[in-house]
Amino acid sequence: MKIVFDAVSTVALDKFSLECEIKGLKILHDKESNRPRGILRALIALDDILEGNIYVDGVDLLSFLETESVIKNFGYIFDEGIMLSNLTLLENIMLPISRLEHKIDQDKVREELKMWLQTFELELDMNKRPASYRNSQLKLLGWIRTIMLRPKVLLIENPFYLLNKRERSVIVRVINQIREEFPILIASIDEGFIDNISAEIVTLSQ
Amino acid sequence: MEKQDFPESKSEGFFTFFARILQEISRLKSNRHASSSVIFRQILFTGYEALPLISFLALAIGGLIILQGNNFLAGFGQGIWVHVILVTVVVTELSGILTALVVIARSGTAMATELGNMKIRREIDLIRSFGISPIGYLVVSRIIGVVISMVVLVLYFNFIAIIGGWLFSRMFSRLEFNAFMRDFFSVLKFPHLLSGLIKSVCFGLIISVASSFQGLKVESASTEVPQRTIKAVVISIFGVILTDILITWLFWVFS
Repeated sequence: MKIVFDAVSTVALDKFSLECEIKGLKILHDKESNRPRGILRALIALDDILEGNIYVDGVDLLSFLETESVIKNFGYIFDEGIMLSNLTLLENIMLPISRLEHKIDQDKVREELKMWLQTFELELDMNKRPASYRNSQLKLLGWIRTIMLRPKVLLIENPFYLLNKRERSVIVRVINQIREEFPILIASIDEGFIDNISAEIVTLSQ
Repeated sequence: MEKQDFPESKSEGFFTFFARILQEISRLKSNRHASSSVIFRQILFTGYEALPLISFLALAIGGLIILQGNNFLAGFGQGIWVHVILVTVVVTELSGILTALVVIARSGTAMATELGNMKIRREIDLIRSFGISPIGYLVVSRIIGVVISMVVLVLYFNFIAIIGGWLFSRMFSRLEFNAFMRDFFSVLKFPHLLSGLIKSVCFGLIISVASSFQGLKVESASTEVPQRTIKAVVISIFGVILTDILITWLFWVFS
């Protein structure tokens, strides 16, 4: 998968690609401005980019998203632990999976979920609504929800927001684990996160 | 995937929103965005949980009409006209209007508030990040749920109002249920039922579309939620009354 940003004020972004990934990890970063957040949002069609075009594998982004499943390609992790408040935690996990597969193997999903809950050191009653839990717990569950979809590109607004030191170290450990398991391109806007885990940083420049 | 799936900006008006709803409905069969669980929950909330209030209202209205009608008409020996009133007033008018008011008060407000809060909590963004259309998943599913609930509630209202009418009529005469129903069905005609059915579908549509639109119009402040909810209620009431007048007028013209 190759993502090309045509005339988005930067040349470096042309290299933003799984094809030239180094150890499956690459970071999109710009400490001077909030531009990466806009680009992250543009990649899943939440926002317009102000200038230029984004091409995925040579196809215009919106055309690409018309034929390709968004969640198969892009996983988005929001600042806050956003969950649909009228669904249980399990339903929140199942919702995007149900868009990927017509028939879900519930047992298989539950088994994988259990494994990830242990990895993230979370103890949650999945039949409860999100309001029963802290935002930091929901944020970690948001990570699990996204990782379970195995996206090619992981877009992270602010990976450590709401998390304490222990939870941050869990995130770093999990990132290192998943990049061993499957190739993934990571884009984030957080400097601390970048320092900890990046193999290569793609810096936005004017 | 469409980039803008709902009224994101102030410039995006009601008609664009409505066109998107029609677009989603037109491809409903192949559309996996509409959710059966959302439809089911909406029917549960709008339909099933409203039954006690509807029962009370219908029983009281049916009974009061018989009570007042009997008082007034029996003196002239025109008891049969009580059934005419029951049919024309309850089946064609009051059942739809009163059920719509109950649905506006319970479900219209709830929908506008819920969608408004979802917008503030960025849950709409979350849904879109899954590649799911918020219009299909949240709005179309709710519209289907509310329309189904409205039709069933109106039929239920009619049934209970008739039972209420019979129970109250027992206060004045020893009229048997079968005889009461025979009189009732001798007055009830197909256009009455058709008009009630069309109205209930239209009312359900108006309430759910207006409430969803206002809910999704909330931008970022929680103070907008009650303001949008009030707007949803006012627009729904206006819409329901005007549509009722229009449909009644059309049936009157073509009958």
